[in-house]
Amino acid sequence: MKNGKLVRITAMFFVLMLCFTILSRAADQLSVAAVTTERPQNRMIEHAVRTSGKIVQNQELAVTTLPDQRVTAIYVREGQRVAKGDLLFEVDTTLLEEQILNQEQEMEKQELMVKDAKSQKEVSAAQKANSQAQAAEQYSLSTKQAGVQLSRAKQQLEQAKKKLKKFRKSAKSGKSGNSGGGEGDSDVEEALLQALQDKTDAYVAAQGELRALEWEIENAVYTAKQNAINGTATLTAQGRTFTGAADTDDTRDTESVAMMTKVEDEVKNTWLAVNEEKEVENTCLAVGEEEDVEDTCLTVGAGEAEIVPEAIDASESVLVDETAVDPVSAFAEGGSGFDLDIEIEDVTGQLPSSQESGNDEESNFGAEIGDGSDYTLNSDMGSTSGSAENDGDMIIDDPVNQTEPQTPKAAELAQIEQTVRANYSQKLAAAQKKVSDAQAGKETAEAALVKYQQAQLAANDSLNTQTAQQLASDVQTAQQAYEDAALAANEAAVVSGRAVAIANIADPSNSSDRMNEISYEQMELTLEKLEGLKKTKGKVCAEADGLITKINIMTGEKTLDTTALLMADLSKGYRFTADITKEQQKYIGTGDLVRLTSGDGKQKLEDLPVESVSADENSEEIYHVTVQVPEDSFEIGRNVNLDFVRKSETYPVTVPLSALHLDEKQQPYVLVVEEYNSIMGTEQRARKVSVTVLEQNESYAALAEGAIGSETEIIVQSDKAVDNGSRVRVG
Amino acid sequence: MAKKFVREIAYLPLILLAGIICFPVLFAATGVFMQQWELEDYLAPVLTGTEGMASWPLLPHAPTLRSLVELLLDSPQFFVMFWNSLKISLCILVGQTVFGVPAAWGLARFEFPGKQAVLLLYIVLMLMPFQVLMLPQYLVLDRFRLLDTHAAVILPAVFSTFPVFIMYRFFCGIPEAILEAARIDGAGHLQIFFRIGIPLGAAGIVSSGILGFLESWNMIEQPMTFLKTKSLWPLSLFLPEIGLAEVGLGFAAAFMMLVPALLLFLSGQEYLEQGIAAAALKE
Repeated sequence: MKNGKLVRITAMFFVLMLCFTILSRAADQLSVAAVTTERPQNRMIEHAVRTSGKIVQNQELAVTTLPDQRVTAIYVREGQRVAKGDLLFEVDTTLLEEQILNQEQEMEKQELMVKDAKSQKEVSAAQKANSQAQAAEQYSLSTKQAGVQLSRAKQQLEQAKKKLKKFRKSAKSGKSGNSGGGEGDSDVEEALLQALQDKTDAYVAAQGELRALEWEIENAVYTAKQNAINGTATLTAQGRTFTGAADTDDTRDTESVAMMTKVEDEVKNTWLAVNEEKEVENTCLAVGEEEDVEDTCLTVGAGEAEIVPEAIDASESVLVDETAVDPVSAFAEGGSGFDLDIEIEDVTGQLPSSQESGNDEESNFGAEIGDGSDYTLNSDMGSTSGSAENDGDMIIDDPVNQTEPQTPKAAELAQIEQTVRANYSQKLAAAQKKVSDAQAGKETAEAALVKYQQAQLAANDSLNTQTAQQLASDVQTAQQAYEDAALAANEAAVVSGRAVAIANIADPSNSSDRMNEISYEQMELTLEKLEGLKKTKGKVCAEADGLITKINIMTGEKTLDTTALLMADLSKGYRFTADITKEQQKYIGTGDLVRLTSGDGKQKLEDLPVESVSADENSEEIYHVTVQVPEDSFEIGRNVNLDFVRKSETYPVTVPLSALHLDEKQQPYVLVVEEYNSIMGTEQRARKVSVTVLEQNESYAALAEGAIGSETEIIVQSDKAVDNGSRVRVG
Repeated sequence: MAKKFVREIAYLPLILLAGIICFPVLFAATGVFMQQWELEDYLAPVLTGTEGMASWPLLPHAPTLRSLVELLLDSPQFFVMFWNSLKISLCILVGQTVFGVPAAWGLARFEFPGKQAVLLLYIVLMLMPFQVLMLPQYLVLDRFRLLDTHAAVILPAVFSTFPVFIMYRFFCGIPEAILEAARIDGAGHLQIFFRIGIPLGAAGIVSSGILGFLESWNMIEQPMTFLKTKSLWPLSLFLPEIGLAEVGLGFAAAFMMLVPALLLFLSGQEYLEQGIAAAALKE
């Protein structure tokens, strides 16, 4: 290659290199951020609080009138100034007079209702006392009657037996020569009689148990229903208290339960007394087997007093375990000595001998109450099937009861009753089965006895046969009568005891008279107001100097229950009120002197002290600031601007806020310019310096000394994003 | 015929050797056109210490001019160093010419007491490596407050003994008769030096110049030791600044660095060969 060509190539190479040098430098400069720097300044941080608000009155007056009055004329408009006594509006006096008349009539009605209620309350109290007395009387009557019936049946039975024995004795003595097996026959008959006696005892006992179980079921149903009602009564109690009537549901329940318990105890005691006699009878029976029946029974019944306490103990122990069932079952046991002597005079002696009402009547009454209607009466006091003495109260109570939506419905109560009855159904069936079994056993024993007696009679001569048959039939009839009497006595005691308990259940509380009185008083107050308005001829005037701010009524329309007019009370002065942010709230406080400027800037008030700065009730970010303004400076409702500047102490290092940045950990930093040597020569780059911000406003931030000197150039602006280490060019 | 065959056979090992010697140039040339990822793949065992051996293909897998464009358009630093290198090299070249040529002429053509001692000193100094001279040079430069300037690199090289020694040999080769004839014609010392000495010793001057340029173009210890300011660094220090992430840029820079030296060598190849041959023949 020629040297000339080589030289040209070399020259070209260097020219190219020169071009690329220029190009690469140009490209390089494009990536360098041009920044503006500033040195930290020594200055104060000013916090300006600027907000706009309104001038409002210090106090507002509400002008009200009675509701439902027709407005005939309104003499003011919103924004109008009024003086004290100025006519504001007028209402229709004709309508007013009509209302006054109506009110007076209503009051008269109310007065009558108060009287009625009081009278009804007295009547119902008297009726209640009467029904209680009746029930007590009925109780004593029915128990006495039952006792008398029982003793009568017993006497008849005894007589029949005596006759039979007498006849047999005479027959035996007549035949003793002919037949030696007479004693053996008598033993057989005794054994059969004894078997019949046992079966009868079992039957009566089973009957008693069944009765007791029925009573228990009824009691359980009553308790369940009562609980259901009480559960809701607590809720309704509040409503009643509001109307001023004292609620005595709980007291009532407690009383009724106590009363029931008391009656049950009485019933128990009665049967305890009977039971004592029964024990004596049992003793009689034991003795009677060995010796002469007639004599021994009387002797033992009167004389063997030491046996009685044991019998009482035994009965009591049973009574402790069970409730109302025990006296019944005890009686059933005691009633076993049908063919023996019973010393029942002690019991019957305490009862009056009146026998006007028959057993049938009592049984019917007992059945009527025993079928559950008494509990229906308790749970549904408003029903007319209740006792007559409560009628007056019930009528007055009706509105109260109707306002109790929580009261269980009849269907629910029926369901509760069904559930309780279902729980007992098994027991009841068992008891019924036992009764039927016992009855069958008794009938079998009776048949066996009859058969034996017939066989024996057949053996005897035909003359005696007819007489003996007659006598045996008498005994049997008498025995059945005695059984019936015992059962009737049992039932009469239970049923009439229950009637006493029901009669003693307290009446529901009744405060209707007081409620009516209260209504009357309220009406009286309204009437006074109406008459007051009538006196002023239906005119409503301003009570103070003020400015009408709102009118809620319209001419021709009726007034409502709300405020008719709102007016600013000018005598109490004005104030400026505005909202500021939480941030602004830091720099303004009570007593700070602020400047108020009207919206158009024409009116200015300097150095007015801030009256209060308070937080908003709903938002944490909003505060209310108020400033009292002098009278006649700004009008009410005018928009006014507030200006206030809080100056801080002088800080040696303050930088423009644009120079402050936050890193990923939210720590503040600034970027300073530093020079460094590179291949390109001395270049400038940004360096991150972490700082502590002492205070800042929307323009400047005061930094803690130390991190930055007063000569440091701080980047405040750049044309590209600059970070730590970025090359920069100070423009 | 047999002789010709033997000669051809003898070329084979020579070609092989030439190939081995040329391989680094090929290495640099292919690297310029490789993508960054490709370079990282091949050189990772060397540069990052991962296991395995570095490999090198004869041709790039995905040829690109990206590295070259990046170097030429986006690396102003490269050009700063390039021009620094050129400045240093040219200054050294001029200096060696200004001071070395008269020195070599004087040693070759004048007789004076202690001439042999001076020659010996020149040879000894020429043989001494930079590491030996570094400290004394540093101290001297520091005393002259020349450290961290280009003069610290240029001046010691200007007064280097090697070009003087090369040119001394050339000047020695000029026949005394020519100089005698000139003197008879009335030429003075300066006229003889400029009109006879330099033209006749041009081959030596050029060859020493080329060698000197190549040496100063590639010098690395001196700038590294005496220059702290990066903006003064020559191109030889650009490559140590390059990491694996910019290895493509490094190959491009190496390639560009090769171009001026190659052009100069090609320009002075004739003189260089002459000079070396002349020196050899003289010996």
